[in-house]
Amino acid sequence: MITTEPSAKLSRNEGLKERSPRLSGTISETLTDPAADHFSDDDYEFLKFHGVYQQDDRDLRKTGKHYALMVRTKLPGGVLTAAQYLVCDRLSTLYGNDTMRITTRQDVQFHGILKGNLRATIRALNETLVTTIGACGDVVRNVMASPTPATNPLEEMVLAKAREISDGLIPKNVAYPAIWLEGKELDLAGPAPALVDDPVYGKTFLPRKFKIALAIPPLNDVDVFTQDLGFIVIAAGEELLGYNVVAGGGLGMSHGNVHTFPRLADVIGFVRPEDLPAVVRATVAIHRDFGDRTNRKHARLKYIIEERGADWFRSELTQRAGVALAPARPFQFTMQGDRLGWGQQRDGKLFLGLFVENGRVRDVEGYRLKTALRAVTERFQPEVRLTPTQNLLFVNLRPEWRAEIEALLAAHGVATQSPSSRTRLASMACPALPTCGLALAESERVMPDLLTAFERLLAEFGLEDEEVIVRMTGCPNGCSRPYLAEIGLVGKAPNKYQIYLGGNEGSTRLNRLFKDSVKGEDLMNEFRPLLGRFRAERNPGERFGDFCQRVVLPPAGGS
Amino acid sequence: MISANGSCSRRPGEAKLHPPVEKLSPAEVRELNERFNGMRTEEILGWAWTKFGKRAAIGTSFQGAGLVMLHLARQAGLPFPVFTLDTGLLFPETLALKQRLEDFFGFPIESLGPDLTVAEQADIHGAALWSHNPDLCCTVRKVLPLRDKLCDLDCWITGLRREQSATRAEIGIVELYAFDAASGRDIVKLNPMANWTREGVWEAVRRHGIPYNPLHDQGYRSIGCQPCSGKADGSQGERAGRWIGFNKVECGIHTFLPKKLDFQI
Repeated sequence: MITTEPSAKLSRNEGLKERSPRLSGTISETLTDPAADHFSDDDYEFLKFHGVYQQDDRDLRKTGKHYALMVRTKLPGGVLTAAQYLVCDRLSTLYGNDTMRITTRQDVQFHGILKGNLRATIRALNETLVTTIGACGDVVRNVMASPTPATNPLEEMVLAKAREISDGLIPKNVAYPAIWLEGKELDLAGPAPALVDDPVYGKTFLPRKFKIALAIPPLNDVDVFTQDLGFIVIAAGEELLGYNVVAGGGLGMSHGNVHTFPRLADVIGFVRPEDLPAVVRATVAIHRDFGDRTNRKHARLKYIIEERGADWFRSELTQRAGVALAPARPFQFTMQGDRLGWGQQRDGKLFLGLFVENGRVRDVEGYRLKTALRAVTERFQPEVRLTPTQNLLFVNLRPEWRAEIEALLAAHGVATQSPSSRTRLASMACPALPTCGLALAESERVMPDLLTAFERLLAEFGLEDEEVIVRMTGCPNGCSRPYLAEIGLVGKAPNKYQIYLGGNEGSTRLNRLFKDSVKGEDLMNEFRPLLGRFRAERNPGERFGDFCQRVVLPPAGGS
Repeated sequence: MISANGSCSRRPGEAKLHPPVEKLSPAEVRELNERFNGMRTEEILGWAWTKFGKRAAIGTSFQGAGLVMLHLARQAGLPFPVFTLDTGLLFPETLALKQRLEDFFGFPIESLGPDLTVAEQADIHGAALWSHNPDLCCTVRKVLPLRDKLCDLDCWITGLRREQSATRAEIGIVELYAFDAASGRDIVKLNPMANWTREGVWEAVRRHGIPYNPLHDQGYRSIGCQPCSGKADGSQGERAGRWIGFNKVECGIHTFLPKKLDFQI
């Protein structure tokens, strides 16, 4: 059931899904055609459902398009076994650009994979039980959950829940095994098996992507209000009472299009633990049935809830899920980010959180992070967890290994407690150029130097010990979730950025546009007077984002 | 339509505790229906007791037909569990009647309540939900508690009568509903009063001295929740007076499950 006006024209992707319900396109043919250096435009759309983006090296565009593929895994809660991590590490060296990218949804991305190696990459991942299906495309994406190792039993339960939701919503019909695992389309002698529509997604999947996360207050590491659907754990001590459901968040927008905007999820109500699966299914179905299939920029669940209202959503959810939503229980988020350095688990073992700047796992001169991580993983076989802030945790370490692990890391130039500033540890950037086709400006490549300049500026004002959360993206789609940062930098054109100010530590408030189209070299000049005022006028202990909200920006709700 | 999927998730293991009785096939249901059309109510109830025992239960809102059925079951020595949906919005007269009936019949009547108090419901959906979204109100206060109860049952016995309204004119005496698509679980709905007339019901109530709701004597035809039941004369049908101002004739408890087959009667 699609509720758009009958006269409205469906978006191109809807036609593609309708005509090729197994989303196979001509992927297999192109894979085996040595003359083809890239996939067709239609296959580009199909490939996303398989976890693959076709990209080209934008640094080299002047000499023509040099195609390569990005492959994204789907790792609920960001959890990998040691064996799985080592396969990822090996594949990134063998077929990728010798780096791994930890994403803001706790996945691994491989960049620079050539078409001829694509099938081998995906097959090797699947052989170690890591999938890429549904990592991109109009389906439920990777389900996020706090990866911090169990300091209480709820955390393990929440990770298991994330896995359950994610696995339960892997699309059933996609010709994924046929293309990637068996190496060809199924061609059995008898008639083709009847194509049954996916029980959740139906024939044409969702109108757009759908994001789910679970959070355990007071830590909002998953940015739960940016999700289409979020669950806030409500517990009494170690006993899970249920979840507050939040729905309708999402950050993507387009420059110059007022009908698109970042939006925080509404708190919908409280449900009991056993009601979670029904709430997930019903909410996905609401998006499926009411989402705008005529305009992909306006197709997320957030626009449905914005336009029809949270009360409408509550009514629809109650009817569809068969769950009596109770009033939301009190909760409070006061922090985000990861526990870096050594920490103790509930079972007495240790975990180690390592800072990975912008999530890029690689070796550079004097700082051979990728080799170091591989060495520790090979030697101690820890569980590996990827965090929503693009960092990495080693889990289930025995206390007696500590000295040896520190020595092993140090031998590669990696400190267990990163010497980086608090601001750098709390900040992140999206990949952007040269791989991402959507980027309008640099992000990951300029972020380290930009932060160095910002650290210098903080020091000028004696603020070097402050934590200021800075998030940068190369385009307005919001992968690094810039719209909740204390300083959000959003690429608008080459070397031009929007400055957003006013996010908070609990990630419960959208920041607001402060300046449009600022040149990269002028950014520090914009920040200098702000930091001056911050030092002079801040309340005791007040954070920069809260200060901007209170003093710098016009009153909330105004303008 | 309420999703039937996973609807018994709140009672994990319940199905294991009570292995469901052998499922009725649609053909059997059709055949039973023909047979039951010519049988007396107590004989139909006897069949349900033999087949389901206490996995069958009578649901009633204490209106005429339900009262007569309770009486017939007791007379026949069929100790079915009895339940009612207490929405928290019932008339005081209705609540008092429940006590009077328990005294009269000598068995307890289980009250099934919603997850939300009226105040909690107002908190999340706004005050007086019945006045702006009666379907949602009925879902929360009646349908969901009933659905939870049906997880424990194989047969749900009602006092529906064909004469009551157009929506009820074509009910079968036995009906088969898909209860849980995921597990393939069905539920049998038994309407042994289907062929009774209003006059027949009230004649039986008087004859046996069964306590009844005094609101019937004050001009109420059909009595549900206080905010959504009004007085009505008989000219607009037996269910007149319910949800005045809305295009709504059923609360949803008799329509939320998908029927497995339709009958020609």
